[in-house]
Amino acid sequence: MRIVPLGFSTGRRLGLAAAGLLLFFLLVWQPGVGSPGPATSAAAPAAWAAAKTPEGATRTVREPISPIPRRIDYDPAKAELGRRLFHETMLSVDHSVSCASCHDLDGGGHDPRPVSIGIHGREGNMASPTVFNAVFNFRQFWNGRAVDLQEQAAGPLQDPLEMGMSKEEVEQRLSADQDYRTTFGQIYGGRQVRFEQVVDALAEFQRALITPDSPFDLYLRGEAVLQPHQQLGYLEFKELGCVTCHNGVNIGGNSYQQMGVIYPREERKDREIQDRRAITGREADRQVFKVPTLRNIALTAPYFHDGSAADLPEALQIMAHHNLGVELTSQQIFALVAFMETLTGQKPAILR
Amino acid sequence: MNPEREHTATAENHSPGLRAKIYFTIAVALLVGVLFAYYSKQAKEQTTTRLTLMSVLNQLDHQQQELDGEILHSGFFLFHDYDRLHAMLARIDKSLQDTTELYSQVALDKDSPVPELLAAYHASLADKEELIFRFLTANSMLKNSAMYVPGLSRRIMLEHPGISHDYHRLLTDLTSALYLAHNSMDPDLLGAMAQPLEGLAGHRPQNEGLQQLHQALLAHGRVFNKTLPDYNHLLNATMDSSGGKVLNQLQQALQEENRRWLTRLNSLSYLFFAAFMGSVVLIILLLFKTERENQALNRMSNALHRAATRDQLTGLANRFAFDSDQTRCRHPLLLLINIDDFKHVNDLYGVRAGDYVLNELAAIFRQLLPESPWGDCYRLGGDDFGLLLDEEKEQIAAEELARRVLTAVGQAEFNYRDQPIRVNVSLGISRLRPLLETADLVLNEVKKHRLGSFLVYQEELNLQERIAGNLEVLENARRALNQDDVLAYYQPIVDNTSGEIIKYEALVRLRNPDGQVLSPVMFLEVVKESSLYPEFTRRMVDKIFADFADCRYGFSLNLSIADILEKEVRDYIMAKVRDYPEMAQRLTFEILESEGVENVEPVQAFIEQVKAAGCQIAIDDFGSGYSNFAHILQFKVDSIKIDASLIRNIHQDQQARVLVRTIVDFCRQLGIRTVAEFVHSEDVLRVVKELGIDYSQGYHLGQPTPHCRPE
Repeated sequence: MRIVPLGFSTGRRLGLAAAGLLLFFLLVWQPGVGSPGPATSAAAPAAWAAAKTPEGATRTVREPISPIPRRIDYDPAKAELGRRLFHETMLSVDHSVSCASCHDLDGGGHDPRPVSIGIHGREGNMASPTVFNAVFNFRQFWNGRAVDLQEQAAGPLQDPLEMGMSKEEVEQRLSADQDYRTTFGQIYGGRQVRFEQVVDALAEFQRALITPDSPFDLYLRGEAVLQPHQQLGYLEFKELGCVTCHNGVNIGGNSYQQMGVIYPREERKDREIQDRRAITGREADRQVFKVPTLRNIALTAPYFHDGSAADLPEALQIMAHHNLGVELTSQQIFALVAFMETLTGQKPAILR
Repeated sequence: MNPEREHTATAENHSPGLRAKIYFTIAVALLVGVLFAYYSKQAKEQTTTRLTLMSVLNQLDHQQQELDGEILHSGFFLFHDYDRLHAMLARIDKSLQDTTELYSQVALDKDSPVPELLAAYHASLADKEELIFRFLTANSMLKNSAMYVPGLSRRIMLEHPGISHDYHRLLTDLTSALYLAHNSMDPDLLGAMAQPLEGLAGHRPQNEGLQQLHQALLAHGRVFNKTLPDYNHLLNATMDSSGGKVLNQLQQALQEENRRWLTRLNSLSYLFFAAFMGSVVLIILLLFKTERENQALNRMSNALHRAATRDQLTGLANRFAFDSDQTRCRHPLLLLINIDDFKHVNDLYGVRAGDYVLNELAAIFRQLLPESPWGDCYRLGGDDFGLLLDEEKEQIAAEELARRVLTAVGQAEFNYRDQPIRVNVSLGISRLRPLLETADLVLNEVKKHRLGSFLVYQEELNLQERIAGNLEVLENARRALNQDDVLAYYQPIVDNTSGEIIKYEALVRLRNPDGQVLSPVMFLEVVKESSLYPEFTRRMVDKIFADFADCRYGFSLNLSIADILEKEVRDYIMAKVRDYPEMAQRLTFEILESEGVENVEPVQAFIEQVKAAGCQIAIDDFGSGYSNFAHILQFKVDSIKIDASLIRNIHQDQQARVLVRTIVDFCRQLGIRTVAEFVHSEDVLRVVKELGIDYSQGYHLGQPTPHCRPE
């Protein structure tokens, strides 16, 4: 629309303006009126119907255990930072320990000691579980008090027995370090390191700590066959009912179960055991823990939440007695151990 | 007048208010347009979001059902991957997050039940998750025990065949009761387990192997018995979770909200449509208004046009209209009509009478105007009328029309207050531009020579060239006065009896810069009309007096009545006559009587004075034009010069001879001498002598020379 040099008469000018207005409306009106109309009436149910994704109602019987994915999405920069933080003793109040002190990445990602030793040589109450494949656990810690890895990472940092830090202390120490401050700034922005960023980086590192391609996973994928005794061990594993609790990708780590269903275990009085009851307060949750993963189980002795079983035969016998009420024969133990040894996977790619 | 030009002029003078209004209108239009575009975009986005939201809710419903199916699946199958449940819970949680986020984009009002329902669903989901976790614990225990009771029973029976019949029965009872309870999922049927369990508890097997199996069997039975109600409760609670109901409410609430939003959207679109229709109506109204204003303007412009192009008195088109009309004629013909002596009418009968006559004449002219071809009648000035015709298609008989005009006017008698008034008109007709000027030129010709008739301007008349020539002549005359190129030539007058020169007639000549000498025919007519003439006369008088001072011949000087009436000239001549009394005796004034003498007294007085000084008086060119016998007596004329027209052919023309004889007789009796002009041959001289004319003058006797002496 021309505005300044109008050289014609009033009538024609108004007419032109009116025509322009009309055109404008026609142009704008058509899509404006058109779009809400059909969308709300006839097209709507069709759209919703299309959105439905029909999933197979019938399922074929499949193995209750699934292989670890060969690759997992994670942010390399964050994971790399997490790896540094994982080994950072600055994160303990007396600079004595780091995450790696109690989670041996060269071993099973756990603490080979029955209980871990934190700052000032303080002993913990529970055995440190492995950090490998922790990302597949439905909850973290023995009693599942953390929903995800971030929440988990915040725990030991602030535990007075473990690293004894406060959020502020963590932020302050890392911000004081020029290198950390720069790296955090590059990844997360901002001039100061924040606690959430620290646990996020640690969690991102742990996401990367998966151990795929164990012999058993290869078997599950149909890429390898098991030895007869290993095969026998897997059959025993199912027949004995181990698999009712130890299933899923982590062969455990997806439900809470009681230790000593058939014959209750004697509790150690000298340690404060953090079972589900500590969370829910229900008596029925006494001695109830998150089922631990059996991945890399051959590497993660000693076993159980209290590190009370030194090797696999012992642990198997304990579990058979307390939770199944039976005593395993040596053949059974031999087969089961053979099966469990097939659960040792490849070292995480980020550690290679 | 050109209406389009008029229109443009008004548009250019529009007020600044109008411009502001237009800008305002454009601004409003743009604003509405931007609002509409915004509305349209919002509508599109909201619709998309709402559709997605409904679809996500549907998906949520589906996922929930899927989860329930998976829970049942996990209870039904001994081997189950619990990860599947967690993955489903995670998907449901993701869908719920999506729902919340999508809803936050389209939330309408604060008192909507949707956020509350979303929170309730979230809470129910958390509850359900907790229930599922607990269910899984019970599920694993129950499944293992349900598996171990029959398995252990079988082992006892196989490994220890010596067991009592009663023990055997208890084992069977326990197994079947467990089977029934497990498969019916009915805690009421657990009662059937109590009796075999109690019975088995009473047994103390001695065999160590059997005891171990017995203990385990008993423990599993007890675990099953204890867990089944829990399991049953948890399963039902999980299934009956309020989630589904909340989800339904959520869907309904959202649908209701969608309906409300649609209504709002529609009403907004109606609003826009109303605005659109309003602007259309406004445009139509404006168009009407503009049309009305245009009509008013046209009426006004017509009125103005009429006022500007019409003569108020006669109602004829005026000069202004004529100017514009004639430019549009391809082949114009103008009859310029002037009332003869209209001043007389005004003077005699008064201006009102004059106006009356003008009006009546206008009516006559209008009537005379031919119907076809195109033409109009104009009043071009005080007493000037014009008939303008276009000869584009056919030639008009202009002369015929002019004659009709003359006749009509001649026959008309205008009675003003019982006083009959008659007028005559003269016409100048022209087809050549500039129309008015050319017509005026011929009209002047008519006025000068043939009053009361008409003349058609023709290229041959060369009036304009003549005007240009006149101006040239006057210029030359002025130059001649300044450069002393006004000459006096002298032609001898001879005595017919003695053959001797008795005097010379002084004749004016004008010398061009190239030395060529012009005769009076070439300039005198023009000079006489101009203001230069008195100076010319004076110059001639000076020269003659100078030339004849020391000469014995007499000499004559041509004077017109107009010269004599000019006081300046008269006084100048008188002064000369008085200063040179001897020369005055030899001087003759030849008075040209071409015009009638209206004011006789000054002429009479002058003649008496010069006669008293000894000068003689002659009448020049007698026998042509105005020949007044009374003047001959009145002016006491000494001689008369018989006109050349009578003398030129006198040797052949009998009638001329009779006429001349009469004049000579008449003069002889009165004692007046006669002179014959234009004696160009011996034959003429002979007849002149026979007729008894006293003197002769002509080329045969002597040509005019710059000297006053015979050759």
